[in-house]
Amino acid sequence: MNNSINIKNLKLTALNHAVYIFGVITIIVFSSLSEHFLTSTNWITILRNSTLMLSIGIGLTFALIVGELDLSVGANCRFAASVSALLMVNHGWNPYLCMILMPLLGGFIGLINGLLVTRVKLNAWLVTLSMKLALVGIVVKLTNTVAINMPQEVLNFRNIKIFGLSSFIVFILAVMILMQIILRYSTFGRKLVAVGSNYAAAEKLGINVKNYKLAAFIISGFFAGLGGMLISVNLGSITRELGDGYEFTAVSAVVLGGVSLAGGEGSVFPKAFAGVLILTVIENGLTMMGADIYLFQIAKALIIFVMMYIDSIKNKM
Amino acid sequence: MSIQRYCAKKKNAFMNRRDKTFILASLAAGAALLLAIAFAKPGFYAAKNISSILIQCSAVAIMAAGQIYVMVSGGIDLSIPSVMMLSGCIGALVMRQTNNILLGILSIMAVAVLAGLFNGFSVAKLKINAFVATMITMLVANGLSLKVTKSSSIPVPQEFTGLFGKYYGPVHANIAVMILCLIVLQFVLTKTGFGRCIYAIGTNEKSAQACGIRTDKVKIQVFLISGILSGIAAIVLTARIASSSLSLASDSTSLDVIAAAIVGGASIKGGVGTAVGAFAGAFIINGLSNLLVLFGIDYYSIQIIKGMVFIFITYFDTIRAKARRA
Amino acid sequence: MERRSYFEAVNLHKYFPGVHALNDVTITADKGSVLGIIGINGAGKSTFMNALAGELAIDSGEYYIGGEKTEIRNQKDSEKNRIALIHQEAVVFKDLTVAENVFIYNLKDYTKAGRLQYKKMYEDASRYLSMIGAQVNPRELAKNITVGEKQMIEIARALVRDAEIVLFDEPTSSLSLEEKENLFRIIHQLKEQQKIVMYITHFLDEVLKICDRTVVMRDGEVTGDFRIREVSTRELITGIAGHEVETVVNQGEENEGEEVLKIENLNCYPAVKNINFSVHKGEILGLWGLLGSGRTEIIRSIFALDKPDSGAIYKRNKEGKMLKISGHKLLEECAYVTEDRHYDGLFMAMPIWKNITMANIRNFSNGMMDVQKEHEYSIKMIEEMQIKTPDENVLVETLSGGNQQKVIMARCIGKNPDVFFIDEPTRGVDVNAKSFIHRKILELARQGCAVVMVSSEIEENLNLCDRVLIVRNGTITDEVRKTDISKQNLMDLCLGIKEGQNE
Repeated sequence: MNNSINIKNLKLTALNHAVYIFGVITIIVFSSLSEHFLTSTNWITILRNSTLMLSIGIGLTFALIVGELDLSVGANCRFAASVSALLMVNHGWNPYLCMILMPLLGGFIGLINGLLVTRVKLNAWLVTLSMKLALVGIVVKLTNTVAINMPQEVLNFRNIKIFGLSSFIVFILAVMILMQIILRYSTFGRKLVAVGSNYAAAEKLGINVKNYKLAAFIISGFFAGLGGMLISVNLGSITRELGDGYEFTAVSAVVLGGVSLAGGEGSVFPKAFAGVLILTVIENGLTMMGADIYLFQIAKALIIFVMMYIDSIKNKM
Repeated sequence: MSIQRYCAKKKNAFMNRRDKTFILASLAAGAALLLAIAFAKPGFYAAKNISSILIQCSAVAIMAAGQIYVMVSGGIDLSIPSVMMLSGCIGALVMRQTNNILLGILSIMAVAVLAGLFNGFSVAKLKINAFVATMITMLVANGLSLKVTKSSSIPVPQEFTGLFGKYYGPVHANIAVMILCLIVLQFVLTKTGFGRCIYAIGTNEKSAQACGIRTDKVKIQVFLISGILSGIAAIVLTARIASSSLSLASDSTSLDVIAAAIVGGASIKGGVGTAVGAFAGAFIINGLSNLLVLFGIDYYSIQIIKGMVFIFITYFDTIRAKARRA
Repeated sequence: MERRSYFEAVNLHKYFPGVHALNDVTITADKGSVLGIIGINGAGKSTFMNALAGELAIDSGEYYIGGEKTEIRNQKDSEKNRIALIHQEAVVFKDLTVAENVFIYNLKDYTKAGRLQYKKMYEDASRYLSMIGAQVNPRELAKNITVGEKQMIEIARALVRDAEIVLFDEPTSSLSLEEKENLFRIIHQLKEQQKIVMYITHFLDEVLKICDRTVVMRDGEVTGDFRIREVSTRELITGIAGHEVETVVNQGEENEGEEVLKIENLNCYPAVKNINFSVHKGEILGLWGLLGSGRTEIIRSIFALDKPDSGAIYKRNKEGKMLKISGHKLLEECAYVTEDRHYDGLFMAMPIWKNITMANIRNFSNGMMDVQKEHEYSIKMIEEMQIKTPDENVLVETLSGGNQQKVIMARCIGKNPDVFFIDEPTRGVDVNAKSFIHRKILELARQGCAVVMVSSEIEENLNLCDRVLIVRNGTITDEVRKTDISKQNLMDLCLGIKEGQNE
């Protein structure tokens, strides 16, 4: 009797940490397949490639914590980045100002999403999916799908190194820690979790639920815009592929990390970070093996599938 | 006794009135819009233009009907357009390799059925959230489409387009297939016990279970139907444009399908909607695009307008749900 | 006018669509006393509590606290007047820690430079929790604690806010016995601290045990105000029910019909353990146990609604053979009235006729649904079950509790089953509907149906059952035959007193 409970607890612990176990296995497999995998250069590449998704993932985690889905993040990232880049390149605005403008623009779109969801009471994922369509339309109209190259001032950020890492990598990692602290150790963060874990109860206790949801959407948009800022430093240009399909990748990543779609459960670090990192590692590893892009897409989908299945077993136990 | 009876009666009468005014108001607004169009762009009403809208909307209507089935049962299927694209591409490849239309159609349907079963199984048996489960299918289907087409367009044989993409007398094959599908689906949904079970599950899954309805079976069947309809839509669409490629489905298509379902009366909360509504929804949405093109608006501006219209359509769902509940 | 009591609510009125939920209600309470508020569901007790807690606003009436007139229109007002409500279902956030849940109102007070002071918070939380004798780790996430502990969080919240008036809304409905005792101890403690405690319940014995005074409510009115020491149970019952209610009693002789259903070694971790029993034709079998003992879970695992880990079910088929049957198949053949009609019973947004025919759709369809036949049948059932409604097209959500319950009964009877499972046949149902449903259950049994009934009301078990199985900790510990069924006996057995099987 006691033994079977122990085994059950052991299983539960294993399932709870399935994603980390999985991450370790992936790393072992890839490093045994390629000697270049476990090198510091490669890991810096992995970190660099994960910055954009990490930024989007941080924002999305906040939206998911309050129990809402934001599917406009990919398009929002592209929108904020493109508009600011155009202002910078074609209209001669101050590059530094435009860099700051990116997250602000993203936050503004988040504000619109949030108002539509909380005040007009629309369904979040339908609104944000529609918003995505509109934003992509606007961007294509403005840019004619031509890539925009960043001026030298922006590229200079890349060359500033902190602990041997590019400044923007350190920056996003620091922001990640900050956001986790806000989520975990501030009144604001705790109330966000309260709203997400039991909306009706939060309302009953007189928490201003609408404003917390609105704030979550603004944060989600803000970080989508911040992702645009990071990518313009990282790649030096805003391409037409930027943000395309990122919303699903971002949802996949944070859900993979253990952020719940039902709200209330999740963290920026380690959960969202782990999810993003694992997906980037797999992409990196598969590219090293010379695999197709499509294979990455399918692998990603299957991993999410397995994780969601594990999640449903866990809930049944 | 009397007071409860009185309340029940009063409340019911009130609800019907609210419902009726709402329907009347939306009809009046629609009629006014159509009249305005008649003055601004008379060409819109040319028989040829209407017919071309009908042909264009047939694939979306068929997919939206599948979406409505899933939505009535309280779920959502994001994978419909992607499955349509994948089955269309594989079908086109098979036809090109074997030159056998029947084999092509069979492979289209096989892919669609498999995808539907996978969705149904994940949702009903593995208890994965429908949104995520179908998103997974969507990602896989997109990936596989990329793989099989290598981003190029695959032409389909003449015989195939001749069969499903031609006029039979005054009626285009696409329209015929659409009408046939919708009639059958409407009948099954509203007139049979199976249809009643779908509504029951969408209204309250737990209650349906306690009534002895095998909810998991019904849900698998519902996703299977939506898969099959993706396959039919693939046949219709590839036959019309005579080729398969990655452009068969885009983000805009998946929104088109969901929006058509909502305009057609389905709700994301489940339990309501009819299959013929899918036609109304698809027709309105394609009519809108058509009209914007007539006004000389470019593709991407249309997307922007569509995005805004979809937000409005979402609003439509919200107020309609409110009117139902009042 | 001089105010004599510390708290007075005077001439409260509240209208809901079609219901006068509070009709000229005047209730007073003194410091250092426990006031019971009893009545059946729909009597207006909860409306009164929610009004005090600021969760709904009254239409007219006045409140006086400490002799001064005050307004309670929302939660803020209620908080200002130092009123705290302990909800029937504790309001907690599953993803926050216990301490955070306790201080959810006061998180600001624990913030220093934008950062929450967890050390202080945990210390304070354990202080408040130990004050009420709750053994719960403040660092634990709320989703991992028991129902009783969740309630402790709410009580601790009330202490943190230094509430003067503490309202308990049916607090014992899902507590274990020890948790219940602890709760009573806390209430006593609050009383000694000169607080006002108001205690809503429909359990008479609890009122008699802990209250000093009690107010009886019925149909939105106060029908009685008694000192506990001076009142008899009979008086209270009459106050609650309004008039002498006809009690339906199973007069039938003990009969030994043939076995129709047999359950063998059913296990469903962790709530159901090793269940063996059989049901006979024409008998009413009660499953009796405390809340949380696993009664509902046993039925759910029989029907495979919770997938059982092991076990077999045999049912007599038409030819009279006992055959093994799967849970799903059994559910298709039997009738099952669930515990909570809102959660998993009715289709609230559907009309009555669809609800009535939902369980046996096959009888009304041969390829196509015969809607005409459905309507005719529903009208017949509405007559038979005396459902009060203008017609069969009314939405079920607009009906009263009793009529909703009758709709479910009608649906299940329509299946014409050999075995009838009823979980809480009369929860939240008015007295008249109650005796009607009791008569119906007896009638079913007389017609040869085997009835398995779960009920929290001991009287229902006493009056209706031919045989009672005692459920404790997810397993059947005893069987009581009709001649031995008595209140004392059932209570003793479900608490495990007689056998001395203390664990």
